[in-house]
Parts: sequence; structure tokens; C-alpha cells
Amino acid sequence: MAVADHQVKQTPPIQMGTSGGWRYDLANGYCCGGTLGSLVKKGTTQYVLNNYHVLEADIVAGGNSRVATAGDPVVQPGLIDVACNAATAQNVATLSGIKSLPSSNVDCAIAQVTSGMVRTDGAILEIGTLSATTQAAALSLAVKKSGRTTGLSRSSVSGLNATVSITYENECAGGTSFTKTVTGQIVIKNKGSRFLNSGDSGSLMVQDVTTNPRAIGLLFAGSSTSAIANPIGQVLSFLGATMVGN
Amino acid sequence: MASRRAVLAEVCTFALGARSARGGRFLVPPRRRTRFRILLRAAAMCAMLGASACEQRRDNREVPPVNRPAIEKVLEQHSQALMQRAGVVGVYQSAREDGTPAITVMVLDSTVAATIPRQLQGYPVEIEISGPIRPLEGGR
Repeated sequence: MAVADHQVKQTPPIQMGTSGGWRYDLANGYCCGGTLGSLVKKGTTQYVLNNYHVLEADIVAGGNSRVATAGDPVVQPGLIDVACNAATAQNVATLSGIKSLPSSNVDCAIAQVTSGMVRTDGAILEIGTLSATTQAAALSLAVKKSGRTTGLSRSSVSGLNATVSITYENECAGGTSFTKTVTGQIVIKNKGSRFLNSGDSGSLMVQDVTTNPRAIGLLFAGSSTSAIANPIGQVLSFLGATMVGN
Repeated sequence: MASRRAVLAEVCTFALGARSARGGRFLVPPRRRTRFRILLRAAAMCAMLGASACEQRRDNREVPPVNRPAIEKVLEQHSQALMQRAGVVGVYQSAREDGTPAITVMVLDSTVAATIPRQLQGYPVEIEISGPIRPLEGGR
């Protein structure tokens, strides 16, 4: 499968590991988006798992007279893959509006699936279905992810218990919103941004095994040397959710 | 147990015929041939202990694993102070290629790297010139 297959509009029900974002993520002459990375559930209700900074970070009226609000549509593909024209994307979920940052230690957001639009088995492009159980990271652990920009990519865990300082914007191409220091994060080798690059935010990091891999972390930040993931246990605990899997 | 330096001092002063700084009694001086053999052995031992002491001075910042705190504790104690240094953007538990536990400090550029200590409570410190760590949404 080519990287481009992670960016095109899918015929519903769609798989995860695909381009997606907030329908109104257009401001200051730019549009933004990320990866609809995986599926989680709370009770019997399914949600797309993504990042706060992809789905909910527009907190000022600013350049588009909008702020991200619970109930807003989440689209596939994201605006960056439909020439910033939301009319050519499809609504697949609705924003929950939890807003995990700046107060918590996780950069996550969920959007309730619109019936019939997302595969209920939670399959991810080039990864398939997951295990319902998760796994803690360990140094040198082999991992993979499926995302909008770098498609299916592999690497290994290079750090644990990371304290990292990250600056967030207040809307797409907006001003600085806040600088957040997160703790207990997972670090992954990312030489040349080959594992994770802009647009891959929201991808789920899993064990690098063939069948029903376990989730390890939610990818959200990085540079051309390292990628950073929230431990999935912290994410699920914050959301009160579990992974959709076998 | 006496330190290596103390042992070195005792052996070398004995070989050279001086008194022990701590007092005590020496054996009855041996005959000339036996004394020569003892001197040779003592000289060899001095050389070995001396080399070992030098080695210890070079490595005296790396504490043997059994004597240092757990790396998680060291990170806990030092992360905040490191993160407050200008140009530091991250600190984490890592391992060198040979598996040696280490602490990695992420910095904006090479000028910051020069200001970071090279060991913390017995653990080597690695520098990663990461540049700023950014949220990775895409934009166009």
C-alpha cells in the first residue's frame, strides 16, 4: 500500500490510520489536519482517538471566527488532503470536546463515530485489527504505526520516563497558546522524521507484530531526531475508555 | 577494606624499606638474594596497583552499578533542574548502544550541549540535539 492510500477519501465504513481532522480547521490562510489513528470505546459507544492539538486546539475566534466545540464534525480526509475544501470530505464522527490540554498530561481527543462511517472492528490501514489489551513500552521495543504522512513506519523505543516541553498554537497557523511540559512520556527513534512527521499526529503506536498487535502509545509530537508518545494506559485512563480490539 | 591507595602505600613503603605510616612491625629483614626477589615482586605489584589507581582516577565519576541510585530516582531528582536550563527541551531514561543505562538530554542546539554535565550520580549523560519538539499536525 502506498502512502497516498492513507490520504485519499475512503468508501465507508473507513479504516483508521488515515487522514482526518476537524471540519473547520481553516484559519490564517492555512488548513490543518492529522491522522484518525484508532478506535476506542466507552461502554458500547465507539470513538475515533486522535489528539487535542489536531481536533480541539482552536480556542480563539481568531482567523476563522470559530472555536472547536463539542458536536463539531470530524472529516475524512482532513482538509490538508482536499485542498482545504471541506465540501469534498466526508463527516465520519462528532467532536466530544473533552479538551485534555493544557491541564492534563495527555494530548488526546475523541470523536463519537457516526453510524456506518467507520469499521466497527477498528481496523487500521496496513495494520489490521488490534488486541483489546495494551502493552507498556520498554527500551529497544520494536514498534510500528500507520499514519497520514509516512504511512506504515517502524522504529524502536529509545527512551522512557521522558519529561518534554512542547509549545502549542491556539488555532491553525495561529499564535502561541501555551507551552506544556509533559512527564512520563515514551521516546521513539525518528531519524529524518521517517517514523513520524507533520500530519501523522494521532497515529497509534503498536507492537511490531503481524497479528492483533497491542497498543503502546498515542503519537503526538517530535522532531527530526525523536518522536514522542503518550503511554496508552494514561490516555485510556484519562478518557475512561478501552481499545476496540480482539 | 583498605583502599587501593592505602595498600599501594603499604607495599611500596615496605619494598623501599621505610616504616609503615601506621606503625606496627616489619618481618626480620631477609637475606640479600631473597630481598632482591621481594623488591622485584613489590615493584611489579606497585606498577599494577599504580595503573589500577590511575584507571580509577580516570573513571572516578562513574560509580559502580551496585553503589548508585536507581536511574528512575536520578531522573526524578534532576529532571526539573535540567529542564530549567536555557535550551533544554527534554530529559529521558535511555541506553547506550552497548546497553549501558544512560540519561539523555534533548537540547535546541550544539551551544546548549556544552553546558550540560556529562554524568549524573554515576550515570553517563548523552546529548541529543533534537531542536524544538513540536506537535505534529499537518498544515498547508
